[in-house]
Amino acid sequence: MVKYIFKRLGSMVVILLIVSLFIFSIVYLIPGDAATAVLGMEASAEDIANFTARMGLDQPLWVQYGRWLGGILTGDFGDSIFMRRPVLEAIGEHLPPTVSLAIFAQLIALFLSLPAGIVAAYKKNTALDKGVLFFTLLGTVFPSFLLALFLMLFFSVQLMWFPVAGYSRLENGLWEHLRFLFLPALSLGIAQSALITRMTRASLLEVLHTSYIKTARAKGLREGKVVMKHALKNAGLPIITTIGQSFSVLITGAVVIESLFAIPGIGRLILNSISRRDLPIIQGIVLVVTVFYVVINIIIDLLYGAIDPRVRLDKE
Amino acid sequence: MKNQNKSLIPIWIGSSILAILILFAAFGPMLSPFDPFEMNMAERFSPPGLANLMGTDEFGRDVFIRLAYGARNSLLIGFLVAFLSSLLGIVIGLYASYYKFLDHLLMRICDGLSAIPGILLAIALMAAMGPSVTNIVIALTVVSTPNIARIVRSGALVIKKQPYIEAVHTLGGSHSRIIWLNMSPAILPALLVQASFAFASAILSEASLSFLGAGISEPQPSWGSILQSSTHVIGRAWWLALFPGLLLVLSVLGLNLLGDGARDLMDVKLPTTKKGGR
Repeated sequence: MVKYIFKRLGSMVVILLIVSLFIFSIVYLIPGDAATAVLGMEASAEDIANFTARMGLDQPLWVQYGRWLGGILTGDFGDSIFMRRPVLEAIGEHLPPTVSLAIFAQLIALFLSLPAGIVAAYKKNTALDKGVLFFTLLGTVFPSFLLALFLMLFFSVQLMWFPVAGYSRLENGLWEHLRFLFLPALSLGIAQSALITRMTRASLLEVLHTSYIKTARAKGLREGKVVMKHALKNAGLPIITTIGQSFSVLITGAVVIESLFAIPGIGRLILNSISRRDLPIIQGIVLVVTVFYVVINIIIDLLYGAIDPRVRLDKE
Repeated sequence: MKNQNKSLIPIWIGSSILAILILFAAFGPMLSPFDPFEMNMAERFSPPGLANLMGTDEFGRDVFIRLAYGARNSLLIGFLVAFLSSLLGIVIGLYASYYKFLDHLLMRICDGLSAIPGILLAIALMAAMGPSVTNIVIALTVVSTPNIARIVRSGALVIKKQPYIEAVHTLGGSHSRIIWLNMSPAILPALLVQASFAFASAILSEASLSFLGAGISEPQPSWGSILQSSTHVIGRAWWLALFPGLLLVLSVLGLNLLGDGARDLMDVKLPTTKKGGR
Protein backbone atom coordinates (compact mmCIF):
# COMPACT_ATOMS: atom_id res chain seq x y z
CA MET A 1 0.00 0.00 0.00
CA VAL A 2 2.82 2.40 0.89
CA LYS A 3 4.41 1.70 -2.46
CA TYR A 4 1.07 2.38 -4.15
CA ILE A 5 0.65 5.68 -2.34
CA PHE A 6 4.12 6.86 -3.31
CA LYS A 7 3.61 5.84 -6.90
CA ARG A 8 0.35 7.76 -7.09
CA LEU A 9 1.77 10.84 -5.40
CA GLY A 10 4.78 10.71 -7.70
CA SER A 11 2.59 10.70 -10.78
CA MET A 12 0.59 13.57 -9.31
CA VAL A 13 3.74 15.67 -8.93
CA VAL A 14 4.76 14.93 -12.53
CA ILE A 15 1.34 15.89 -13.85
CA LEU A 16 1.25 19.09 -11.83
CA LEU A 17 4.73 20.04 -13.06
CA ILE A 18 3.60 19.56 -16.66
CA VAL A 19 0.44 21.54 -15.94
CA SER A 20 2.52 24.34 -14.46
CA LEU A 21 4.73 24.39 -17.58
CA PHE A 22 1.68 24.76 -19.79
CA ILE A 23 0.13 27.47 -17.68
CA PHE A 24 3.43 29.30 -17.45
CA SER A 25 3.98 29.28 -21.20
CA ILE A 26 0.55 30.75 -21.95
CA VAL A 27 2.06 34.22 -21.55
CA TYR A 28 4.26 33.58 -24.58
CA LEU A 29 1.25 33.04 -26.79
CA ILE A 30 0.49 36.74 -26.64
CA PRO A 31 1.23 37.96 -30.15
CA GLY A 32 4.00 40.53 -30.24
CA ASP A 33 5.34 42.15 -27.13
CA ALA A 34 3.54 40.99 -23.98
CA ALA A 35 4.06 44.32 -22.21
CA THR A 36 2.51 46.34 -25.03
CA ALA A 37 -0.34 43.88 -25.36
CA VAL A 38 -1.19 44.17 -21.69
CA LEU A 39 -0.54 47.86 -21.11
CA GLY A 40 -1.93 49.09 -24.41
CA MET A 41 -0.40 51.07 -27.26
CA GLU A 42 -0.38 54.33 -25.31
CA ALA A 43 1.92 52.98 -22.61
CA SER A 44 5.11 55.00 -22.21
CA ALA A 45 8.51 53.41 -22.77
CA GLU A 46 9.15 53.74 -19.05
CA ASP A 47 5.97 51.86 -18.12
CA ILE A 48 6.87 49.11 -20.53
CA ALA A 49 10.40 48.85 -19.13
CA ASN A 50 8.98 48.73 -15.59
CA PHE A 51 6.46 46.09 -16.52
CA THR A 52 9.05 43.98 -18.31
CA ALA A 53 11.35 44.13 -15.31
CA ARG A 54 8.55 43.47 -12.83
CA MET A 55 7.34 40.42 -14.73
CA GLY A 56 10.93 39.34 -15.28
CA LEU A 57 10.35 39.22 -19.03
CA ASP A 58 13.94 40.28 -19.68
CA GLN A 59 15.33 37.11 -18.08
CA PRO A 60 16.05 33.80 -19.85
CA LEU A 61 13.03 31.51 -20.09
CA TRP A 62 14.13 28.87 -17.60
CA VAL A 63 14.97 31.55 -15.03
CA GLN A 64 11.50 33.00 -15.51
CA TYR A 65 9.89 29.61 -15.09
CA GLY A 66 11.97 28.82 -12.00
CA ARG A 67 11.06 32.13 -10.43
CA TRP A 68 7.41 31.75 -11.27
CA LEU A 69 7.23 28.18 -9.94
CA GLY A 70 9.19 29.18 -6.82
CA GLY A 71 6.66 31.93 -6.22
CA ILE A 72 3.71 29.56 -6.69
CA LEU A 73 5.17 27.03 -4.27
CA THR A 74 5.55 29.71 -1.60
CA GLY A 75 2.03 30.98 -2.20
CA ASP A 76 3.03 33.98 -4.29
CA PHE A 77 1.02 33.90 -7.51
CA GLY A 78 2.13 37.37 -8.52
CA ASP A 79 -0.02 40.48 -8.77
CA SER A 80 -3.04 41.15 -10.89
CA ILE A 81 -2.09 43.60 -13.62
CA PHE A 82 -5.43 45.36 -13.58
CA MET A 83 -6.39 45.27 -9.90
CA ARG A 84 -2.86 45.78 -8.63
CA ARG A 85 -3.26 43.29 -5.81
CA PRO A 86 -2.04 39.74 -5.13
CA VAL A 87 -3.65 37.14 -7.37
CA LEU A 88 -4.21 34.69 -4.56
CA GLU A 89 -6.08 37.32 -2.54
CA ALA A 90 -8.43 38.04 -5.43
CA ILE A 91 -9.01 34.34 -6.03
CA GLY A 92 -9.64 33.71 -2.34
CA GLU A 93 -12.25 36.42 -2.31
CA HIS A 94 -14.13 34.89 -5.25
CA LEU A 95 -13.82 31.31 -4.11
CA PRO A 96 -16.72 30.94 -1.62
CA PRO A 97 -19.62 31.43 -4.09
CA THR A 98 -18.09 28.94 -6.53
CA VAL A 99 -17.45 26.35 -3.81
CA SER A 100 -21.01 26.79 -2.51
CA LEU A 101 -22.41 26.43 -6.00
CA ALA A 102 -20.31 23.34 -6.75
CA ILE A 103 -21.26 21.57 -3.52
CA PHE A 104 -24.94 22.41 -3.91
CA ALA A 105 -24.92 21.25 -7.55
CA GLN A 106 -23.11 18.04 -6.65
CA LEU A 107 -25.68 17.26 -3.95
CA ILE A 108 -28.54 17.84 -6.38
CA ALA A 109 -26.77 15.65 -8.94
CA LEU A 110 -26.39 12.79 -6.45
CA PHE A 111 -29.96 13.18 -5.26
CA LEU A 112 -31.18 12.85 -8.86
CA SER A 113 -28.76 10.34 -10.29
CA LEU A 114 -28.32 7.63 -7.68
CA PRO A 115 -32.02 6.68 -7.40
CA ALA A 116 -32.45 7.04 -11.17
CA GLY A 117 -29.43 4.89 -11.94
CA ILE A 118 -30.42 2.21 -9.43
CA VAL A 119 -33.99 2.03 -10.69
CA ALA A 120 -32.87 1.94 -14.33
CA ALA A 121 -30.45 -0.91 -13.66
CA TYR A 122 -32.93 -2.86 -11.60
CA LYS A 123 -35.75 -2.44 -14.12
CA LYS A 124 -33.49 -2.98 -17.10
CA ASN A 125 -35.13 -2.78 -20.55
CA THR A 126 -38.47 -1.61 -19.19
CA ALA A 127 -40.13 1.67 -20.11
CA LEU A 128 -38.78 3.13 -16.88
CA ASP A 129 -35.22 2.27 -17.87
CA LYS A 130 -35.70 3.71 -21.34
CA GLY A 131 -37.15 6.87 -19.82
CA VAL A 132 -34.17 7.32 -17.54
CA LEU A 133 -31.76 6.74 -20.44
CA PHE A 134 -33.64 9.27 -22.54
CA PHE A 135 -33.26 11.87 -19.80
CA THR A 136 -29.56 11.18 -19.48
CA LEU A 137 -29.25 11.71 -23.23
CA LEU A 138 -31.04 15.04 -22.84
CA GLY A 139 -28.71 15.87 -19.96
CA THR A 140 -25.71 15.17 -22.17
CA VAL A 141 -26.81 17.23 -25.14
CA PHE A 142 -28.25 20.15 -23.16
CA PRO A 143 -25.37 22.36 -22.09
CA SER A 144 -25.94 23.53 -18.52
CA PHE A 145 -26.05 27.21 -19.45
CA LEU A 146 -28.85 26.58 -21.92
CA LEU A 147 -30.78 24.62 -19.33
CA ALA A 148 -30.18 27.47 -16.89
CA LEU A 149 -31.49 29.97 -19.40
CA PHE A 150 -34.72 28.01 -19.86
CA LEU A 151 -35.13 27.37 -16.13
CA MET A 152 -34.58 31.06 -15.53
CA LEU A 153 -37.16 31.96 -18.17
CA PHE A 154 -39.72 29.65 -16.61
CA PHE A 155 -39.18 29.79 -12.84
CA SER A 156 -37.85 33.33 -12.39
CA VAL A 157 -39.46 35.32 -15.17
CA GLN A 158 -42.81 33.55 -15.64
CA LEU A 159 -43.52 32.11 -12.19
CA MET A 160 -41.29 34.52 -10.23
CA TRP A 161 -40.44 31.82 -7.70
CA PHE A 162 -36.76 32.61 -7.66
CA PRO A 163 -34.67 35.73 -8.10
CA VAL A 164 -33.63 36.16 -11.74
CA ALA A 165 -29.98 36.63 -10.88
CA GLY A 166 -27.71 37.70 -8.09
CA TYR A 167 -26.11 36.25 -5.04
CA SER A 168 -26.56 36.44 -1.30
CA ARG A 169 -23.62 35.64 0.95
CA LEU A 170 -23.88 32.77 3.37
CA GLU A 171 -23.37 35.23 6.22
CA ASN A 172 -26.72 36.83 5.32
CA GLY A 173 -28.60 33.65 6.07
CA LEU A 174 -28.62 30.14 4.68
CA TRP A 175 -32.13 30.34 3.24
CA GLU A 176 -31.44 33.42 1.10
CA HIS A 177 -28.08 31.93 0.10
CA LEU A 178 -29.72 28.75 -1.16
CA ARG A 179 -32.61 30.59 -2.79
CA PHE A 180 -30.23 32.52 -5.02
CA LEU A 181 -28.12 29.47 -5.73
CA PHE A 182 -30.97 27.03 -6.38
CA LEU A 183 -31.53 27.54 -10.12
CA PRO A 184 -27.83 27.72 -11.03
CA ALA A 185 -27.15 24.65 -8.90
CA LEU A 186 -30.12 22.79 -10.38
CA SER A 187 -28.99 23.39 -13.96
CA LEU A 188 -25.44 22.32 -13.13
CA GLY A 189 -26.72 19.37 -11.12
CA ILE A 190 -28.90 18.06 -13.94
CA ALA A 191 -26.03 18.20 -16.43
CA GLN A 192 -23.81 16.48 -13.88
CA SER A 193 -26.38 13.83 -13.02
CA ALA A 194 -26.56 12.54 -16.60
CA LEU A 195 -23.03 11.18 -16.33
CA ILE A 196 -23.44 9.73 -12.86
CA THR A 197 -26.78 8.09 -13.70
CA ARG A 198 -25.25 6.31 -16.67
CA MET A 199 -22.31 5.12 -14.61
CA THR A 200 -24.51 3.99 -11.71
CA ARG A 201 -26.70 2.03 -14.09
CA ALA A 202 -23.79 0.46 -15.94
CA SER A 203 -21.78 -0.58 -12.91
CA LEU A 204 -24.83 -1.87 -11.05
CA LEU A 205 -25.82 -3.94 -14.09
CA GLU A 206 -22.41 -5.54 -14.12
CA VAL A 207 -22.75 -6.56 -10.50
CA LEU A 208 -26.40 -7.63 -10.56
CA HIS A 209 -25.83 -10.92 -12.38
CA THR A 210 -22.80 -12.05 -10.44
CA SER A 211 -23.08 -15.22 -8.42
CA TYR A 212 -22.83 -13.61 -5.00
CA ILE A 213 -25.99 -11.65 -5.77
CA LYS A 214 -27.65 -14.95 -6.68
CA THR A 215 -26.43 -16.29 -3.34
CA ALA A 216 -27.84 -13.32 -1.49
CA ARG A 217 -31.19 -13.87 -3.17
CA ALA A 218 -31.05 -17.63 -2.60
CA LYS A 219 -30.59 -17.18 1.09
CA GLY A 220 -33.83 -15.24 1.09
CA LEU A 221 -32.71 -11.65 1.54
CA ARG A 222 -35.23 -9.01 0.67
CA GLU A 223 -34.70 -7.46 -2.77
CA GLY A 224 -34.14 -4.02 -1.29
CA LYS A 225 -31.32 -5.32 0.82
CA VAL A 226 -29.77 -7.27 -2.05
CA VAL A 227 -29.65 -4.21 -4.29
CA MET A 228 -28.90 -1.48 -1.80
CA LYS A 229 -26.45 -3.32 0.38
CA HIS A 230 -24.81 -6.10 -1.58
CA ALA A 231 -24.88 -4.79 -5.13
CA LEU A 232 -24.47 -1.07 -4.57
CA LYS A 233 -21.51 -1.52 -2.28
CA ASN A 234 -19.53 -3.24 -5.00
CA ALA A 235 -20.80 -1.03 -7.77
CA GLY A 236 -19.91 2.03 -5.72
CA LEU A 237 -16.26 2.41 -6.63
CA PRO A 238 -16.63 3.25 -10.33
CA ILE A 239 -19.46 5.58 -9.38
CA ILE A 240 -17.21 7.48 -6.98
CA THR A 241 -14.52 7.69 -9.65
CA THR A 242 -17.01 9.16 -12.10
CA ILE A 243 -18.03 11.74 -9.54
CA GLY A 244 -14.39 12.77 -9.13
CA GLN A 245 -13.73 12.93 -12.84
CA SER A 246 -16.90 14.84 -13.61
CA PHE A 247 -15.67 17.58 -11.28
CA SER A 248 -14.12 19.06 -14.39
CA VAL A 249 -17.57 19.19 -16.04
CA LEU A 250 -18.91 20.85 -12.91
CA ILE A 251 -16.26 23.57 -12.90
CA THR A 252 -16.67 24.16 -16.61
CA GLY A 253 -20.40 24.59 -16.14
CA ALA A 254 -19.92 26.79 -13.09
CA VAL A 255 -17.77 29.28 -15.00
CA VAL A 256 -20.51 29.82 -17.56
CA ILE A 257 -23.43 29.62 -15.15
CA GLU A 258 -21.90 32.22 -12.84
CA SER A 259 -21.79 34.76 -15.61
CA LEU A 260 -25.42 34.05 -16.44
CA PHE A 261 -26.67 34.43 -12.86
CA ALA A 262 -24.28 37.26 -11.93
CA ILE A 263 -22.70 35.22 -9.15
CA PRO A 264 -19.44 36.84 -8.02
CA GLY A 265 -17.36 33.67 -8.12
CA ILE A 266 -14.27 32.38 -9.88
CA GLY A 267 -16.07 32.27 -13.22
CA ARG A 268 -16.92 35.95 -12.95
CA LEU A 269 -13.34 36.79 -12.01
CA ILE A 270 -11.87 34.92 -14.97
CA LEU A 271 -14.36 36.53 -17.35
CA ASN A 272 -13.57 40.03 -16.19
CA SER A 273 -9.92 39.17 -16.59
CA ILE A 274 -10.29 38.10 -20.22
CA SER A 275 -11.28 41.53 -21.46
CA ARG A 276 -8.58 43.11 -19.29
CA ARG A 277 -6.03 40.55 -20.53
CA ASP A 278 -5.10 40.09 -16.88
CA LEU A 279 -3.08 36.93 -17.44
CA PRO A 280 -1.69 36.46 -13.90
CA ILE A 281 -5.27 36.13 -12.62
CA ILE A 282 -6.24 33.73 -15.40
CA GLN A 283 -3.12 31.63 -14.87
CA GLY A 284 -3.74 31.62 -11.12
CA ILE A 285 -7.33 30.45 -11.47
CA VAL A 286 -6.50 27.74 -13.99
CA LEU A 287 -3.70 26.51 -11.73
CA VAL A 288 -5.76 26.54 -8.53
CA VAL A 289 -8.71 24.74 -10.14
CA THR A 290 -6.47 22.16 -11.82
CA VAL A 291 -4.56 21.42 -8.61
CA PHE A 292 -7.86 21.02 -6.81
CA TYR A 293 -9.14 18.68 -9.51
CA VAL A 294 -5.98 16.58 -9.60
CA VAL A 295 -5.84 16.32 -5.80
CA ILE A 296 -9.49 15.23 -5.59
CA ASN A 297 -8.86 12.49 -8.11
CA ILE A 298 -5.69 11.33 -6.38
CA ILE A 299 -7.57 11.09 -3.08
CA ILE A 300 -10.27 9.04 -4.80
CA ASP A 301 -7.62 6.85 -6.41
CA LEU A 302 -5.94 6.26 -3.05
CA LEU A 303 -9.27 5.45 -1.39
CA TYR A 304 -10.01 3.11 -4.24
CA GLY A 305 -6.68 1.39 -3.67
CA ALA A 306 -7.29 1.19 0.06
CA ILE A 307 -10.75 -0.34 -0.33
CA ASP A 308 -10.05 -2.66 -3.25
CA PRO A 309 -6.71 -4.51 -3.12
CA ARG A 310 -7.05 -5.53 -6.78
CA VAL A 311 -6.50 -1.93 -7.84
CA ARG A 312 -3.20 -1.41 -6.07
CA LEU A 313 -1.81 -4.87 -6.82
CA ASP A 314 -2.78 -4.75 -10.47
CA LYS A 315 -0.53 -1.87 -11.38
CA GLU A 316 2.62 -3.06 -9.65
CA MET B 1 -27.77 -10.10 -39.00
CA LYS B 2 -29.64 -9.56 -35.80
CA ASN B 3 -30.21 -6.03 -34.66
CA GLN B 4 -28.81 -4.79 -37.95
CA ASN B 5 -31.83 -2.62 -38.71
CA LYS B 6 -32.22 -1.47 -35.17
CA SER B 7 -28.71 -0.14 -34.81
CA LEU B 8 -28.99 1.92 -37.98
CA ILE B 9 -31.74 4.14 -36.55
CA PRO B 10 -29.48 6.45 -34.51
CA ILE B 11 -27.21 6.89 -37.51
CA TRP B 12 -30.14 7.83 -39.73
CA ILE B 13 -31.52 10.32 -37.24
CA GLY B 14 -28.07 11.72 -36.51
CA SER B 15 -27.09 12.18 -40.14
CA SER B 16 -30.49 13.66 -41.04
CA ILE B 17 -30.10 16.25 -38.30
CA LEU B 18 -26.59 17.01 -39.50
CA ALA B 19 -27.74 17.24 -43.13
CA ILE B 20 -30.48 19.72 -42.18
CA LEU B 21 -27.96 21.83 -40.30
CA ILE B 22 -25.54 21.82 -43.21
CA LEU B 23 -28.35 22.82 -45.60
CA PHE B 24 -29.38 25.57 -43.18
CA ALA B 25 -25.81 26.86 -43.01
CA ALA B 26 -25.29 26.62 -46.77
CA PHE B 27 -28.58 27.96 -48.10
CA GLY B 28 -30.16 29.75 -45.12
CA PRO B 29 -28.46 33.05 -45.91
CA MET B 30 -29.78 32.91 -49.51
CA LEU B 31 -33.37 32.40 -48.40
CA SER B 32 -33.44 35.56 -46.39
CA PRO B 33 -33.65 39.06 -47.87
CA PHE B 34 -31.92 40.49 -44.80
CA ASP B 35 -28.30 41.36 -44.11
CA PRO B 36 -26.81 39.84 -40.95
CA PHE B 37 -25.14 43.10 -39.95
CA GLU B 38 -27.76 45.64 -40.97
CA MET B 39 -29.27 47.35 -37.94
CA ASN B 40 -32.81 48.63 -37.96
CA MET B 41 -33.64 50.31 -34.69
CA ALA B 42 -37.32 50.72 -35.60
CA GLU B 43 -37.67 46.93 -35.69
CA ARG B 44 -35.94 46.08 -32.39
CA PHE B 45 -37.22 42.94 -30.68
CA SER B 46 -39.91 42.09 -33.21
CA PRO B 47 -41.31 38.68 -32.35
CA PRO B 48 -41.15 35.90 -34.95
CA GLY B 49 -43.54 36.56 -37.81
CA LEU B 50 -43.85 36.57 -41.56
CA ALA B 51 -41.29 39.31 -42.07
CA ASN B 52 -38.69 38.04 -39.62
CA LEU B 53 -39.09 34.29 -39.35
CA MET B 54 -37.27 34.08 -36.03
CA GLY B 55 -37.73 37.65 -34.87
CA THR B 56 -35.15 40.39 -34.49
CA ASP B 57 -32.52 41.19 -31.86
CA GLU B 58 -31.70 44.28 -29.82
CA PHE B 59 -30.38 46.08 -32.90
CA GLY B 60 -33.30 45.06 -35.10
CA ARG B 61 -31.15 42.55 -37.00
CA ASP B 62 -32.87 39.48 -38.44
CA VAL B 63 -32.25 36.49 -36.15
CA PHE B 64 -32.81 33.84 -38.84
CA ILE B 65 -29.96 35.01 -41.02
CA ARG B 66 -27.67 35.58 -38.07
CA LEU B 67 -28.34 32.04 -36.90
CA ALA B 68 -27.61 30.73 -40.41
CA TYR B 69 -24.28 32.54 -40.46
CA GLY B 70 -23.70 31.34 -36.90
CA ALA B 71 -24.29 27.79 -38.14
CA ARG B 72 -21.51 28.29 -40.68
CA ASN B 73 -19.14 29.32 -37.89
CA SER B 74 -20.23 26.49 -35.60
CA LEU B 75 -19.97 23.78 -38.23
CA LEU B 76 -16.70 25.12 -39.61
CA ILE B 77 -15.08 25.34 -36.19
CA GLY B 78 -16.48 21.98 -35.11
CA PHE B 79 -15.27 20.27 -38.27
CA LEU B 80 -11.82 21.82 -38.21
CA VAL B 81 -11.32 20.97 -34.54
CA ALA B 82 -12.47 17.38 -35.10
CA PHE B 83 -10.25 17.03 -38.17
CA LEU B 84 -7.13 18.62 -36.71
CA SER B 85 -7.34 16.89 -33.36
CA SER B 86 -7.91 13.54 -35.10
CA LEU B 87 -4.84 14.17 -37.24
CA LEU B 88 -2.69 15.15 -34.26
CA GLY B 89 -4.27 12.45 -32.12
CA ILE B 90 -3.52 9.65 -34.55
CA VAL B 91 0.10 10.74 -34.98
CA ILE B 92 0.69 11.11 -31.24
CA GLY B 93 -1.27 7.97 -30.34
CA LEU B 94 0.36 5.71 -32.94
CA TYR B 95 3.92 6.80 -32.23
CA ALA B 96 3.33 6.62 -28.49
CA SER B 97 2.05 3.07 -28.82
CA TYR B 98 4.97 2.05 -31.03
CA TYR B 99 7.99 3.56 -29.30
CA LYS B 100 8.32 3.04 -25.58
CA PHE B 101 10.43 6.17 -24.97
CA LEU B 102 7.94 8.39 -26.80
CA ASP B 103 5.08 6.79 -24.91
CA HIS B 104 6.12 8.16 -21.54
CA LEU B 105 6.88 11.62 -22.83
CA LEU B 106 3.79 12.04 -25.02
CA MET B 107 1.34 10.50 -22.60
CA ARG B 108 2.56 12.58 -19.67
CA ILE B 109 2.07 15.70 -21.80
CA CYS B 110 -1.45 14.53 -22.62
CA ASP B 111 -2.12 13.78 -18.95
CA GLY B 112 -1.00 17.27 -18.04
CA LEU B 113 -3.11 18.92 -20.73
CA SER B 114 -6.24 16.97 -19.94
CA ALA B 115 -5.87 17.62 -16.22
CA ILE B 116 -6.78 21.24 -16.94
CA PRO B 117 -10.57 21.60 -17.27
CA GLY B 118 -11.19 22.15 -20.98
CA ILE B 119 -13.08 25.40 -20.95
CA LEU B 120 -10.57 26.99 -18.56
CA LEU B 121 -7.69 25.98 -20.82
CA ALA B 122 -9.56 27.36 -23.82
CA ILE B 123 -10.33 30.60 -21.99
CA ALA B 124 -6.69 31.03 -20.97
CA LEU B 125 -5.48 30.38 -24.53
CA MET B 126 -8.07 32.76 -25.98
CA ALA B 127 -7.17 35.47 -23.47
CA ALA B 128 -3.53 35.24 -24.52
CA MET B 129 -4.01 34.87 -28.28
CA GLY B 130 -6.95 37.24 -28.70
CA PRO B 131 -10.36 36.52 -30.22
CA SER B 132 -10.55 35.13 -33.76
CA VAL B 133 -11.96 32.06 -35.46
CA THR B 134 -8.46 30.69 -36.10
CA ASN B 135 -7.56 31.05 -32.44
CA ILE B 136 -10.77 29.32 -31.34
CA VAL B 137 -9.87 26.40 -33.59
CA ILE B 138 -6.33 26.30 -32.17
CA ALA B 139 -7.50 26.52 -28.55
CA LEU B 140 -10.19 23.83 -28.92
CA THR B 141 -7.83 21.55 -30.84
CA VAL B 142 -5.37 21.76 -27.97
CA VAL B 143 -8.21 20.86 -25.60
CA SER B 144 -9.50 17.86 -27.52
CA THR B 145 -6.30 16.28 -28.88
CA PRO B 146 -5.10 14.54 -25.66
CA ASN B 147 -8.29 12.54 -25.34
CA ILE B 148 -8.15 11.35 -28.95
CA ALA B 149 -4.44 10.56 -28.68
CA ARG B 150 -5.10 8.44 -25.61
CA ILE B 151 -7.86 6.47 -27.34
CA VAL B 152 -5.74 5.90 -30.46
CA ARG B 153 -2.84 4.78 -28.28
CA SER B 154 -4.79 2.23 -26.27
CA GLY B 155 -6.37 0.84 -29.43
CA ALA B 156 -3.00 0.71 -31.17
CA LEU B 157 -1.39 -1.13 -28.24
CA VAL B 158 -3.81 -4.00 -28.86
CA ILE B 159 -3.30 -3.93 -32.65
CA LYS B 160 0.48 -3.90 -32.24
CA LYS B 161 0.33 -7.36 -30.64
CA GLN B 162 -1.67 -8.91 -33.49
CA PRO B 163 0.05 -11.64 -35.50
CA TYR B 164 -0.23 -9.75 -38.79
CA ILE B 165 1.84 -6.90 -37.44
CA GLU B 166 4.46 -9.36 -36.32
CA ALA B 167 4.34 -10.91 -39.78
CA VAL B 168 5.04 -7.60 -41.51
CA HIS B 169 7.84 -7.08 -39.04
CA THR B 170 9.39 -10.44 -39.88
CA LEU B 171 9.05 -9.74 -43.59
CA GLY B 172 11.22 -6.71 -43.04
CA GLY B 173 8.59 -3.95 -43.16
CA SER B 174 9.96 -0.66 -41.89
CA HIS B 175 8.63 0.97 -38.73
CA SER B 176 6.84 3.75 -40.56
CA ARG B 177 5.33 1.21 -42.97
CA ILE B 178 3.94 -0.76 -40.06
CA ILE B 179 2.67 2.35 -38.30
CA TRP B 180 1.01 3.99 -41.28
CA LEU B 181 0.07 1.17 -43.63
CA ASN B 182 -0.73 -1.62 -41.20
CA MET B 183 -1.72 -0.11 -37.90
CA SER B 184 -3.48 3.14 -38.82
CA PRO B 185 -6.33 1.55 -40.85
CA ALA B 186 -7.27 -0.64 -37.92
CA ILE B 187 -7.59 2.37 -35.66
CA LEU B 188 -9.79 4.38 -38.06
CA PRO B 189 -13.23 3.19 -36.82
CA ALA B 190 -12.45 4.18 -33.23
CA LEU B 191 -10.98 7.44 -34.47
CA LEU B 192 -14.06 8.30 -36.53
CA VAL B 193 -16.35 7.66 -33.56
CA GLN B 194 -14.21 9.83 -31.34
CA ALA B 195 -14.01 12.54 -34.00
CA SER B 196 -17.78 12.87 -34.06
CA PHE B 197 -17.81 13.38 -30.29
CA ALA B 198 -14.99 15.92 -30.63
CA PHE B 199 -17.05 17.68 -33.33
CA ALA B 200 -20.02 17.94 -30.94
CA SER B 201 -18.01 19.12 -28.00
CA ALA B 202 -16.19 21.72 -30.12
CA ILE B 203 -19.53 23.18 -31.21
CA LEU B 204 -20.59 23.29 -27.58
CA SER B 205 -17.31 24.83 -26.44
CA GLU B 206 -17.41 27.48 -29.15
CA ALA B 207 -20.93 28.40 -28.07
CA SER B 208 -19.81 28.54 -24.42
CA LEU B 209 -16.78 30.68 -25.27
CA SER B 210 -18.84 33.07 -27.38
CA PHE B 211 -21.51 33.12 -24.67
CA LEU B 212 -18.80 34.21 -22.24
CA GLY B 213 -17.46 36.79 -24.68
CA ALA B 214 -14.21 34.92 -25.19
CA GLY B 215 -15.02 33.45 -28.59
CA ILE B 216 -16.49 34.99 -31.70
CA SER B 217 -17.12 38.62 -30.92
CA GLU B 218 -19.91 40.92 -32.02
CA PRO B 219 -20.94 41.88 -34.63
CA GLN B 220 -19.88 38.49 -36.06
CA PRO B 221 -22.83 36.13 -35.56
CA SER B 222 -22.49 33.09 -33.28
CA TRP B 223 -25.10 30.97 -31.52
CA GLY B 224 -23.31 31.56 -28.23
CA SER B 225 -23.29 35.34 -28.49
CA ILE B 226 -26.94 35.44 -29.58
CA LEU B 227 -27.76 33.37 -26.46
CA GLN B 228 -25.71 35.83 -24.44
CA SER B 229 -27.69 38.78 -25.83
CA SER B 230 -30.92 37.04 -24.84
CA THR B 231 -29.95 37.03 -21.17
CA HIS B 232 -30.34 40.80 -20.90
CA VAL B 233 -33.90 40.74 -22.20
CA ILE B 234 -34.94 37.33 -20.99
CA GLY B 235 -38.54 38.25 -20.18
CA ARG B 236 -39.08 40.18 -23.39
CA ALA B 237 -37.52 38.22 -26.22
CA TRP B 238 -37.83 34.49 -25.72
CA TRP B 239 -36.97 33.80 -29.36
CA LEU B 240 -33.43 35.03 -28.79
CA ALA B 241 -32.92 32.14 -26.37
CA LEU B 242 -35.11 29.46 -27.96
CA PHE B 243 -33.84 29.28 -31.55
CA PRO B 244 -30.08 29.33 -30.98
CA GLY B 245 -30.59 26.98 -28.03
CA LEU B 246 -32.56 24.58 -30.19
CA LEU B 247 -29.92 24.64 -32.93
CA LEU B 248 -27.18 23.98 -30.40
CA VAL B 249 -28.99 21.06 -28.80
CA LEU B 250 -29.92 19.61 -32.20
CA SER B 251 -26.39 19.69 -33.52
CA VAL B 252 -24.91 18.14 -30.39
CA LEU B 253 -27.66 15.52 -30.35
CA GLY B 254 -27.16 14.72 -34.03
CA LEU B 255 -23.43 14.24 -33.70
CA ASN B 256 -23.76 12.20 -30.52
CA LEU B 257 -26.31 9.90 -32.16
CA LEU B 258 -24.02 9.55 -35.15
CA GLY B 259 -21.08 8.68 -32.91
CA ASP B 260 -23.05 6.27 -30.71
CA GLY B 261 -24.62 4.61 -33.75
CA ALA B 262 -21.31 4.26 -35.56
CA ARG B 263 -19.72 2.78 -32.45
CA ASP B 264 -22.42 0.14 -32.13
CA LEU B 265 -22.41 -0.57 -35.86
CA MET B 266 -18.66 -0.98 -36.18
CA ASP B 267 -18.47 -2.66 -32.79
CA VAL B 268 -15.78 -0.31 -31.62
CA LYS B 269 -14.75 -0.91 -28.06
CA LEU B 270 -13.66 2.42 -26.74
CA PRO B 271 -11.50 2.11 -23.69
CA THR B 272 -12.98 4.06 -20.82
CA THR B 273 -11.12 7.32 -21.03
CA LYS B 274 -9.38 8.29 -17.89
CA LYS B 275 -8.98 11.97 -17.55
CA GLY B 276 -5.96 13.43 -15.81
CA GLY B 277 -5.08 13.17 -12.18
CA ARG B 278 -4.01 9.59 -12.20
